[in-house]
Amino acid sequence: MSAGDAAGSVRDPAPALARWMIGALGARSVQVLRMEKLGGGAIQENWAVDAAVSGGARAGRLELVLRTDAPSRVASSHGRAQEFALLRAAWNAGVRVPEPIALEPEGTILGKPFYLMRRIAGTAAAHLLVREDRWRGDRVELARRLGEELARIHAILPPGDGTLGFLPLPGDRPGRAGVAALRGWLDSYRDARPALEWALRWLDREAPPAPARTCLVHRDFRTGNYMVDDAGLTGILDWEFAGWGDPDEDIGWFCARCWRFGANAREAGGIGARADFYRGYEEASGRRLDPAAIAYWEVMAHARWAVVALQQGERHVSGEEPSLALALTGRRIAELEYELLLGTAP
Amino acid sequence: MTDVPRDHPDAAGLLAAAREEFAREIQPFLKDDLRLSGLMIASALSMAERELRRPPDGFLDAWPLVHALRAGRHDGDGNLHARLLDDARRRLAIANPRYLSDRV
Repeated sequence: MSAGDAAGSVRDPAPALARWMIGALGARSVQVLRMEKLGGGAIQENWAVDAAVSGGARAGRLELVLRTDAPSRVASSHGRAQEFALLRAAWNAGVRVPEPIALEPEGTILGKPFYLMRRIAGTAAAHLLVREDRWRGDRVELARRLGEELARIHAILPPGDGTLGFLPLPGDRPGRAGVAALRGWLDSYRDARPALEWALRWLDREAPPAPARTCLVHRDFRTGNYMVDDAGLTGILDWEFAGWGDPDEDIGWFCARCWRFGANAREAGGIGARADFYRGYEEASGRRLDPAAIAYWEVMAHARWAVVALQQGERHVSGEEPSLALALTGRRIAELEYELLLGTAP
Repeated sequence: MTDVPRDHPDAAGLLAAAREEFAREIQPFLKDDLRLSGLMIASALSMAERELRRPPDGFLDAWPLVHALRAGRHDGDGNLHARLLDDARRRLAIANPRYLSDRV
């Protein structure tokens, strides 16, 4: 184990973490038994932490995930303190998420802020979940359940529980705000991207009016960001992009072709049928989905992903974080621009 | 037309040779995380090879075009859309030819 990576200059973060946990959990003593970096997460680092806690409400053995910043972050994502607030709001609203345990917002323990949440079982690996031979769970039920969970997220309305004041309210056309943000980033990019700009112009023109009910939108609700074990869904992850907005944005993001991981016939995230996902959502929310509105947000999904692909490629090209995976993600811009053009033909 | 004489194999030929050697002698022995690394390496080698054999030509003066697009001067411009689609298809044939053939 290379625990030194967790904190940059701090050599072994486990003793400091254990001392901090005593106060954070109201415990008598805490022993960190294991601290191991988990794979995945271009923007965050996740560590498995096992701790033995005596005294206080959390006494016993705790299996946790410690989530902190990776060396580089995407500028549009929230910090760990905000992500913790979102996770707690979701937990309190009954969304299936890992239980939030404690936040260290100052960065004095590990050199950067982090929080702890309970570790949940299963895998989030999209390329495994979309393969018929690897995950043999009930796909009809999983698609329905994901729709139901998303409806539960969308039942969180502004201003939320009082801890979400940092989230700005959207304007009267959330799609236009999305376009403006993407153009803003493209202005600073090394090259002009005419195909992407064609699609952004279309998205600007076709932007639907503000939704009947502005609500909490996860903004990265897709296969790869939830955990599944043999019995089904165990938790929704990755709350760093959430904000107030149009609920149809999440539906479009989940169903967009770019998030089906090659399982294109299963239009709901590569794992199930769109009809099952919609049914779960509509039954739980009482709201009928409008296919034209979802189609708009599927185009938006490709535009957002296109900009993220450029950003990830740039992290490699700039030398900030040399990585073959980031380099190859950068070259996915070709397929994303191709999809964008197919979706916006005059 | 006279080309500067080059030593052979050229860059694309070297990449092809490296890719084939890698696929034959190394990739079969990779496990777990290294398997994924192997797939990424093979993918990067073949993409670079395709790009060398067919350099992209792209759009000249793309920034003025972008400003015109944003100003709405190409709204509904079917000719421009067709050119953009051609260009995207060409780049996709380099980056991910299978995507192109799977997407009908």
